[in-house]
Amino acid sequence: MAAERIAITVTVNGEPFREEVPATRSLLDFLRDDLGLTGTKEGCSEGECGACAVILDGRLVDACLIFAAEADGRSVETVEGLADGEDLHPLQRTFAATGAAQCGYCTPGMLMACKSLLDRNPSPTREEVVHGIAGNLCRCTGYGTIIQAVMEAAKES
Amino acid sequence: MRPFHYLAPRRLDEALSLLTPQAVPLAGGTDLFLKMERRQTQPDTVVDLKRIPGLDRIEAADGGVRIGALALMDRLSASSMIANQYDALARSARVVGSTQTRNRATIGGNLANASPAADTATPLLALGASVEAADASGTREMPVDQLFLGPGRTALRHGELLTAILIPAMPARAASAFQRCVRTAMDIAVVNCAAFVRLDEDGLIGEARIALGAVGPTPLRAASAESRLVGRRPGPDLAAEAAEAAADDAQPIDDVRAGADYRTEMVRVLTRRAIEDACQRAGGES
Amino acid sequence: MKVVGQELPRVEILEKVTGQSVFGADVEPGGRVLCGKMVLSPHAHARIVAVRTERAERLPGVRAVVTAADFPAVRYGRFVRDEEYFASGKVRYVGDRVAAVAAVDEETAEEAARLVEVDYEVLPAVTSGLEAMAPDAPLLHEDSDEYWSQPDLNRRGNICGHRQIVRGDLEQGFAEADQVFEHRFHVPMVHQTYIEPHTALARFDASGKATVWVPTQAQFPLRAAIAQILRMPMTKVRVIPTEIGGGFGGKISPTIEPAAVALARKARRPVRIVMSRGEDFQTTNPRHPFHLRYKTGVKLDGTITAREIEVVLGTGFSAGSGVMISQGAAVRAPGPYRIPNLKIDSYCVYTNTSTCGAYRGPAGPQLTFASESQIDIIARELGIDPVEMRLRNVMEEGDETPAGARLEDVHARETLVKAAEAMEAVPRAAGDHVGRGMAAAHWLVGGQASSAGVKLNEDGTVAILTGVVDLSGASTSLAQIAAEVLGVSLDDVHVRTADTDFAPHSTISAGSQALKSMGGAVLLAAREVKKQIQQVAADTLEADPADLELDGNKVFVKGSPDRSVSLREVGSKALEHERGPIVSTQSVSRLIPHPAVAAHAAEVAVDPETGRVRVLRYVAVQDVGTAVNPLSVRGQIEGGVMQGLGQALSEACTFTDGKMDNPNLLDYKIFSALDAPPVEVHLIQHPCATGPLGAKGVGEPPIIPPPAVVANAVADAVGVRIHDLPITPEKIVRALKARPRP
Repeated sequence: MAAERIAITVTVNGEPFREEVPATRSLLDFLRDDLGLTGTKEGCSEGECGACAVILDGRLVDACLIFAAEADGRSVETVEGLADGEDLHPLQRTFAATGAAQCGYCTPGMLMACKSLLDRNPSPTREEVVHGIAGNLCRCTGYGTIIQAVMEAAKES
Repeated sequence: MRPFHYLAPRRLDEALSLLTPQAVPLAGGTDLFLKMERRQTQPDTVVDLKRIPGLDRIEAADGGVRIGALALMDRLSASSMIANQYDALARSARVVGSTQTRNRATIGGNLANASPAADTATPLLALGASVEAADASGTREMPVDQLFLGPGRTALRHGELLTAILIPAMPARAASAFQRCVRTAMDIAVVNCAAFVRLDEDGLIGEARIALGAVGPTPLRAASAESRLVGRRPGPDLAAEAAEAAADDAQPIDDVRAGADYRTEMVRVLTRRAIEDACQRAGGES
Repeated sequence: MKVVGQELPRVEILEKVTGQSVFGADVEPGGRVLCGKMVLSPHAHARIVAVRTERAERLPGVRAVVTAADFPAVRYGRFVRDEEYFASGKVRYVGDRVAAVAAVDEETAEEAARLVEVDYEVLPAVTSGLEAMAPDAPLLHEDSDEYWSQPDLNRRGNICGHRQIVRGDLEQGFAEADQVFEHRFHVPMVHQTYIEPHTALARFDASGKATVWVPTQAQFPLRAAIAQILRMPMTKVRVIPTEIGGGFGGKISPTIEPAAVALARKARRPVRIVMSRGEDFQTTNPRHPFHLRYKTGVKLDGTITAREIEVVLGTGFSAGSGVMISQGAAVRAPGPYRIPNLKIDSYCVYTNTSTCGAYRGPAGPQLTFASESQIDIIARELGIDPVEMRLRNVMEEGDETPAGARLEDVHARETLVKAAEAMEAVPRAAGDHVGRGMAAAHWLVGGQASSAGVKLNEDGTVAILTGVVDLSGASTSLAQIAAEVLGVSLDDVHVRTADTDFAPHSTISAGSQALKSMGGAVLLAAREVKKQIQQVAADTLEADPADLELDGNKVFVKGSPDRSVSLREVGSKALEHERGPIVSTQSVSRLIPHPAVAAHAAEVAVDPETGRVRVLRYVAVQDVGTAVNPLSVRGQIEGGVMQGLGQALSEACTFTDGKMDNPNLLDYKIFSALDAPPVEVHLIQHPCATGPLGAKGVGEPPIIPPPAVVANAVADAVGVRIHDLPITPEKIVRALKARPRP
């Protein structure tokens, strides 16, 4: 079968993008390859590591297991949209200060998981933070500094 | 991945008309995407159901609850309608994968995928739920007991779509419980177990259903465990006796996640705990 | 010290939290990039009868297919030249490289890889090192006698390295003992599981120069390997290290890079290869599986009189760094103790798996699991407190390694005591099946040849040029060292990791020594720059250079802070000054190793019915010398502990018929936040004589004790001893059931 292309419009970080993509294109590849937004990472392509986590219509999802076509007409938030111009998101500031990013590869997905958590629950308990980031694997930090960063960001805002 | 046509109908009848033998329905996609990536499924058409309004509704029906097949795990776990009546189901929905997975995976997909370890399958078996299936000629109801035929195989016919799950009203003095064991916190179940018990007015067990997951080719009912319970007074010895019977009902295999012996032992432990928990909350002693 | 010792955020942190860091797969070299895909052996051991590429080559969209025929006949290997890049005669593991393809997109590349036809004649395979030593085991390398190797490896059959160390009189030592204990242990292969899979992007230009962008821990050795494998001069190979999404020793050896270069050369287009997670699990360089036997003689007071140790490493299909690791294992096997009589045999054995590598603290967790489990068993048998038993035998300043090297800067006793005290400071959690355990390990960290450049810019800011990849905060710590010497703040220092064409030769970012080695070079260069600054400023201030001090971005006369000149002025004046621009490049050579000690303690709760272990508390104490950046140091320790706990409780690569059962993150279980206990870190800081400003190596020690700590805590909680990692619920339940009923 010839690769049929589908016209989709996806709002990414507030900006609408109209592209033609093959049906097989994942949302992750759409963001990285079609839009050049390489902040979102590929770690396993199996929905296990969370490196590709983005917020789709207000819900945290793994972009590797979603067809780009499924996002047609919907709105996506990625790490690139987290800061407001020069102003970093509180989570970006606390991640930097606590050492919550080491190699930094899980960081974009982790930040989106934390943002999604704080969007729904502005003052989470430690336990709730742990559950909120359970789908995002980090191999460098041991998670302690990430949890601390979320708690501090919650205090800040 | 093999190229395919992507279709996103807005109406159920339209979706049903598109479900040819070479087509697959797409709900959350957390299982389907990987199967297609690994070329275990190579459909020529993918019918995305998420644009059909109402298919994800959770609503009261006949004293019980009707759950649209596209209801997200996250919504199930947050639903007070579910939590108030069906503890086992609410708990199981809370442990299906990560936040990301629960924001994408649907209850219909979890059932239709027919994994022996599906976490919502055992609670629904224990709760005596049915599924509603639709095709171009109409709809039918089928007990969840009859849905699973084998790993990845269901009684749904070609062109037939699982549209809703129907859970009967929770009787008085009844409760359900869910137990699972895993290797690390984020895992598919090594074994899971759900129990439903209803106590009669004398405090004896009037009705019991025990379901086991990941210990056979499908999620299964532990019939001999259930028969030990009915008509008897809840208590630790009874729970242990029924759990022992459940171990005989299980048909586990060795795989990368656990050996059959461990699974059988976990059936004993989890069944006993689930029965004790359900009995306690149903108002009896355990 | 003003900057060194401060908890400062990483210098590159803003790129990381905004998603701007450029990792391997993010590089855009310009021009359309082809997708490369490896063709890998599905068999653990087979003779290659024929390789046919015609069908793949004819597929529309395919731009190149390469096989062994496209490569010079080069056998390579640092210790034994037993590896060829593409398998020609035989494949020796599932994932062995047979061919590679490049095509216009991923789907076409995958299809082309499937169309490369390979006929195999399957041979019996062996994945256990112990089984591979048996006389009738399948032989992996029939021609190994003809391979070049370093001398004295004692190679024979599947054994590609055997080191024996004898000290004192073993028989006498056992004769002096009141009791002798003997135990066997097994540790399976585990994988680094960095979140960024291996990637490589190669371009080959008309001048015959290959440029490779790759997330590597070791750009200079990688350049050397590519040059050797493809028989190119180093001037024609440029390795550009990208930001690296975790390495842990898994991104040192060449994997897909030579294939990417060969494809780019043939296709005349840039080629990118990205490993799938499954390929990454099966074709890279994980931690060696070990079989261990420990026989220990003790007096009733716990004094160890003798230890006989035999360890067998399964190295995989080639010797790789396994020979070096097994030789080092022989030295560290007895643990951080003074033991007068020793006999240690360490074997490195070929097996039909990918070549194991230098995963963080190579051999450390395996040896320590065995050694420290046995110390605990013995202490319990003798009725001695396990901490007391360790302190009775612990190594002290001036003790010798089994190989006879004198140890300095030894703080094992203090580290152990601190760990015990920190655990005791909090009462034990309530409950029936709660237990505590501890373990200690030492790790020898030296330094490697390195050079770095430091210069003063015309505006008084400072630039550092190195070729060391920033894996765990090295750049920040290097900037802190330069800032300290030159009296500026961290913001005034810029660190650049340059590529192999531009950077002076640098150590690799592995072995806990990146900072120790490169920090020394930066320190020397910064001191030289300081001298030059003093020279230029002396003329302006009309003072003796020796009387000038640097602080607050100024140079001033000692005792007269008013007589000062800003670094900005010095930087610009230097260009007019007779001495010229202020810059220095300095080198350091190898450093002798010093022991860094980690002592850990844990409290666990075990569900005796399901076997599930929860780690309730974890204490990690480490002797780190000077902590240049305590934030980075703590981060390394917390992260190392978590990897170690994964190895303790859930991680293992398992094999059936030579094929990995669990090459994915669903079934290879690393810890998520839900599994991770809080880690309480304590630093023991005594400046080390050889490290820059007193720093010791930090990165590896924290991963070493956790498996032993958990084994000891589980034994304390439920009374069963697991000798085979990981300590899974299933093994605990089995052990509890097998235990005789009281």
